[in-house]
Amino acid sequence: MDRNTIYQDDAVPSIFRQVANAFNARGAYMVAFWTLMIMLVIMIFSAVLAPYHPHHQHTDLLLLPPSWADKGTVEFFFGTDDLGRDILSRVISGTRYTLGGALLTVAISGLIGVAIGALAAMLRGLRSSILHHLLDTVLAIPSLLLAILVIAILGRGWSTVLLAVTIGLIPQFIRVSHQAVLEVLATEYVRMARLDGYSKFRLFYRVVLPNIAEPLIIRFTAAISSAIMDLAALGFLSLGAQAPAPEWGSMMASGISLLTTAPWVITLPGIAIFITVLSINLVGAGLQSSFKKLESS
Amino acid sequence: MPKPKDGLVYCSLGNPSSFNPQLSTSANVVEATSMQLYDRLMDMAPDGRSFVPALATSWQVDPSGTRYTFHLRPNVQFHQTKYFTPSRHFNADDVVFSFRRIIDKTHPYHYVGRSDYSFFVSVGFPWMVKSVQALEEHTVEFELFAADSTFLSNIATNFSVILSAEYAAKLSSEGQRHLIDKLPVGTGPFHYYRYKEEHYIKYRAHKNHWRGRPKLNEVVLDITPNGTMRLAKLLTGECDAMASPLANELALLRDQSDFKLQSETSFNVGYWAFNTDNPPLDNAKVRRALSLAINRDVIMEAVFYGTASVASTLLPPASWGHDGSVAGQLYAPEQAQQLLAEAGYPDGFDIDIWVLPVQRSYNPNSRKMALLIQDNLRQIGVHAHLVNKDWNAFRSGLSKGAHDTVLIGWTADNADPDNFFRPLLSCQAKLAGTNRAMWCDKYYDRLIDLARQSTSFEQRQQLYSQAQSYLAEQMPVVPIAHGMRTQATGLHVNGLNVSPFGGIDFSSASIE
Amino acid sequence: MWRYFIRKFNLLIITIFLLSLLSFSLLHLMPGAPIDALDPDSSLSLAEKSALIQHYALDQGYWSQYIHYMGNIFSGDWGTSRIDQIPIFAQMINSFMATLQLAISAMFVAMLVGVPLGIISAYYHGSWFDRGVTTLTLIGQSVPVFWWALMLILIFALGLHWLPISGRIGLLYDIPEVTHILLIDIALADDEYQRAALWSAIRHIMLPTLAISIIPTTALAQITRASLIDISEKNYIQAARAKGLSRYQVLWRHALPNYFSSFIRHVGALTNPLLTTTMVVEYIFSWPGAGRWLIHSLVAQDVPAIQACMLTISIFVICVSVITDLLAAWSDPQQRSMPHG
Repeated sequence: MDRNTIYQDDAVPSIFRQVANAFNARGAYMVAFWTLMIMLVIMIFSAVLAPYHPHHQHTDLLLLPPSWADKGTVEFFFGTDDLGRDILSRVISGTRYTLGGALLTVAISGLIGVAIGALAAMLRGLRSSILHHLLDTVLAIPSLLLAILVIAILGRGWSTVLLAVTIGLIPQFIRVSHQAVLEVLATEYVRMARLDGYSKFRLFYRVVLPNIAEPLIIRFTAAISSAIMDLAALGFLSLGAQAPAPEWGSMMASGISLLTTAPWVITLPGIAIFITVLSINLVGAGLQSSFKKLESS
Repeated sequence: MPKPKDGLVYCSLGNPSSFNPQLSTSANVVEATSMQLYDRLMDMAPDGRSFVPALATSWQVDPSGTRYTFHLRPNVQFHQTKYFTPSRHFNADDVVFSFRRIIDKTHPYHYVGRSDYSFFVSVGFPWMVKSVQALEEHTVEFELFAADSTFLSNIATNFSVILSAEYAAKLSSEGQRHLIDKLPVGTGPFHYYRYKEEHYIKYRAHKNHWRGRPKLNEVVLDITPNGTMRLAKLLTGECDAMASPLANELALLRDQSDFKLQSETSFNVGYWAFNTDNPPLDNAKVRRALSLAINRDVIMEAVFYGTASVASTLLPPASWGHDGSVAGQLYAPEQAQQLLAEAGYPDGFDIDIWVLPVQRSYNPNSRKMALLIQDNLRQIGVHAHLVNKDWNAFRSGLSKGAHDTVLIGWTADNADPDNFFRPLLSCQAKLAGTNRAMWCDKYYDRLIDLARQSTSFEQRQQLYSQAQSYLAEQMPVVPIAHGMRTQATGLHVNGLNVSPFGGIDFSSASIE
Repeated sequence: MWRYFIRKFNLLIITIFLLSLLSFSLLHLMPGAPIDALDPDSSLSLAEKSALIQHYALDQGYWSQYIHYMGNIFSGDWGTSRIDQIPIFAQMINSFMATLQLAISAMFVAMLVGVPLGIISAYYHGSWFDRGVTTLTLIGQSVPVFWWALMLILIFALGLHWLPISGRIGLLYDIPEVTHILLIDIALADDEYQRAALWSAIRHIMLPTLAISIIPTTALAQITRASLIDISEKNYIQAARAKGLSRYQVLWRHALPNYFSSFIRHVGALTNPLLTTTMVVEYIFSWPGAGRWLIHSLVAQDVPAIQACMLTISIFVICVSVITDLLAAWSDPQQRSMPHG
């Protein structure tokens, strides 16, 4: 295959370089980015990092306050819950469930959603209106309701909830990628590439994909934070991860009865969710503004 | 903030599954209905041993001990509600109707409500009472098959309520029999007004109650299963009184000057039942091993926060049948492991633990208790899986014996020890679906049958001692704790007291 | 406009058809035979079972079952709840009205607070106020709503004892449900405690509204700010500025009218997250709405109730989305006919 250079190869990396530069410029975004990286490291090495086993009950140390309180000790930095389990260890192990689960569901649903959306847009033959109607139907159902339907059918449990959230995320990805691909296909440079004799696959891979990266990346970050929220909400409604799993939402649900006596049991997982979602949202916002800066420059 | 009328809002624990306590042993039903909507022939005196007249003014028993005659109170009026206007006063027909419904399988109302009358079946009531007859307008006679020392206690329980025969006849003629337990009519101090599932029950005062008009015009049971939410509602004034404050929140309540906290030792027991139909739990060695594996001290601290006493047998120490010589269970994981090995399970096995989905004074936090037990069992190689079900599925699953083990308990309706032994572990109870251990043992049944037929107090006491030792050996259930019944009320509420036998009575309560 | 209308209407019909199909098939998707899904405890008698089979036409083919189901839906016969034997249709209307009341009051707060915040921060783009609002919106979007709700309970109920935390109104008030819209029902009620009842209803809605509104408020502030900044960078605004109009004049005369034509669409897009949030908050505050009912029905395996919730909530979302689209399209030509400064 010959490479006629109407289309410039090196444009792709430089876009990312520019985005990265623009992103670098704002301190808050960088802080969020590194927070997220640290979260990921914690998630991967949670088994090693957690000072205790998340299920281990220190039965002589029930409801120990966090270390900064008068009665707290440094050994149990975030204190213990009503079963004497170390909250720090549970929050750390919880990253596997809440953050890990969110990443997993987003990866799978993103893959499926983008594939369907892009395929539908690339293959003109497929009646896109059918897809649209199906999408509108599914999008009309709030994600939590959709998840509840899946749970109604398959029963409660962590794997059901993962599946439910995955299904709930797919339509968004289909819609975004479908629209983005259609937009890109209408541009001048795609026509050029077509004239250039690119096959459909090559056209998608080399021309379309790099150009839909922006909306997709933004969609991905938004999806991760909404997946975390949904997983935690389902855990909180005791429909998701079942006890004693240290999922952040279900940790908070079991902490309700301690709201008055040991508010830290419910506060710390809440803060963990908050920080994770905040840094993801910040990174998303940062990327968005970087892309925008790129376009206007 | 002005409050309308003289009404009291009580934060209660859960939904009643019916408005007729004859049908169900559930504490929710008893608490919501028994003392409010209905009266009994006689009530249990607070001391738990004697009886006070209620709808019956007096009663006699013949020398053979098999014929009981009750003289009924005249001029007692039934509720007048939107759906029923009584045309006559309470009489012997109502008593006959209420009890025949339970014991007579050919009675038109027997199968209405699809209940197996679990309390009555579990205490053997249908096999105890031969007939109920109206002798005169205000005289009723009960004929028993054999003399029975528990009969009067059973007549005085919260379950033995008197319904209206006239209302039943009206429903029959309209083809609406099923409404009898949904839109209730009784003689009690309050009448049914409205009910919303998972939300509230509203009762209005029965102005012509035979004890006199209750001081409250309206009582609302605000159904709030979550303990912290109940407390929050009490603090914000949404509720005037609340059932069972969480043990860990008692300290906070004590600090509040405008609330009072009442507690009462209660005739209850929280226990861990093994489904003895399922191997390996059919092996008494395995059951004893599991019992030795759990650390009760931690449970007392973590689940009850010290508001309960360790149970050594099913009977609470306050009961006259309690045998103090039966030693409480030890915490001995090594011995447990050894027992398991002897029974042929050196590597342990898998079981499930069904978690009581509601809060009870004998088990304020079943989930937490299950997690503690799960951890204890892991140390002897037994892997426990927690099973969470909603209340209805939980109860129906248990009746069918779908569980391996379950954390549950029992609140006695009267102080007779029979009220613990028979409904919980007899063969009849297995039939009635209240025997969570699915245990049916001829020797045990003989002991408690003998105890019931005996009229000698000492002999009964001795037989119950034997039963307790036998249970400690067989261990179909592991007794865990006797919880205190607690209640918190605002200072503006008067006359609302905790009863040791479950249920709550609003008839003498008032609001300032 | 008419063509657009017909296209949208078509979409609405097809989507509702698909949703009804989904709701219908829920019964068949449940594990086991449909009759077992309707009676998971197998507590029903044979006669009751055959009545259920009749009601759902379970002895017939799928299509005639579906037609039967739709017939039932349109005739208002949505079945009865397995738990309390109350007709589901009546309960659905009641719960959904309660949900709507809560969602609308949260949306009201969002418009009252979020939009002005967005406008001011766009006007002072780049100032400390703008940065503050941006930070607030980011924080608001990242707070788990159930945690926020619990904190509100901790502070306002358990700590300060100020506001009630459950239900729509004090339980001692006896307001007959005529319209299912509480305010109107209170007004209709012939009760000596009418004013007290109204006050009680307002106090009861405060905390749940506060809990929910964090989501739409921050979203609206963010959208308003972003759109206004976006518009102000458009050519015609730049031209207006070049003509010598002040920033303030440009904002009021050009940017804002321009923004409000798309405002409806933004509000429509918020329906979905708003209802999701409302469902969770209802559960926490025991608000007798559709979300709380759905979660209870799920735990109790009450399939007809789950079907009803799913159908009602999703049809509501799609209707709002179509209506807001139509309204936005209707206001579009007007916008075009406006002189561009």
